[in-house]
Amino acid sequence: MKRDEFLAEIEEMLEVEAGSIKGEELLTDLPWDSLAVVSFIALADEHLDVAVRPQDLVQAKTLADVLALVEDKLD
Amino acid sequence: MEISSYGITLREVSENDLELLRTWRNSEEISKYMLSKEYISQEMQQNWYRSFKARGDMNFVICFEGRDIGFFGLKVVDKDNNRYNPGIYFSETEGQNSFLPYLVHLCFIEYIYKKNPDMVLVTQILRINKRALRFSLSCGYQKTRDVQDEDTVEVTLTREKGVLAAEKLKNVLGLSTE
Repeated sequence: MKRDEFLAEIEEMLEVEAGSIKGEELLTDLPWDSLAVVSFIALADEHLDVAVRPQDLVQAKTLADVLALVEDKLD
Repeated sequence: MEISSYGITLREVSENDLELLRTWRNSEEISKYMLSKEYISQEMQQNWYRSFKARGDMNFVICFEGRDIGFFGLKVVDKDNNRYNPGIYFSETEGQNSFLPYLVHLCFIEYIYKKNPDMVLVTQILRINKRALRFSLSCGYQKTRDVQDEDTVEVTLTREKGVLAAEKLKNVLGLSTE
């Protein structure tokens, strides 16, 4: 999957304006909450066939940290 | 009493925990999402402790990886109709915005549904607390009432909806039933 397409999926998941996410944002600047964590795990599984461990997301401070967990599957 | 599963331990609140809970509860980040924003004095906290013991509420300190990270409570609303009011907060935003709230939820409902299968959980959430509302709905709660005067939404969890949502959550989080 292309990176832009995956970012668009994240935008939809977080209910933010299309095109507003660049991929480097601090999670504290986004509506990133416990539901976003669960939704991201489901999204990675569904679109990228990656099993993200919830423990790994605890360390993430930025969206770049989150995307690094699925980097191998993004074009 | 302690309840443990999914790496979470819920330790029953004792008198030794009251000051820690009071500090958390009075912090701006937590109190701004509470229905009552009144500053909690030591005396009020002691009164709360005595009254919840008398009423039979269940209140716990949430422990994870050896640290006390938050509070989870269940207040008796209507014993005859088996209705209880849950409440949860975390000492740090990072805990709140992680998968930990789901682990606490799963840990508790699996315990309580074995003890009291027909328990109904009812809570009011401030409309501005979108995080809590989203969390509750994903746990299977359903909106049951808009309380315009208080600017809150009432949500209710029945066992049927709770079990269904729990299975989905465990599947996504890669958890097996313990």
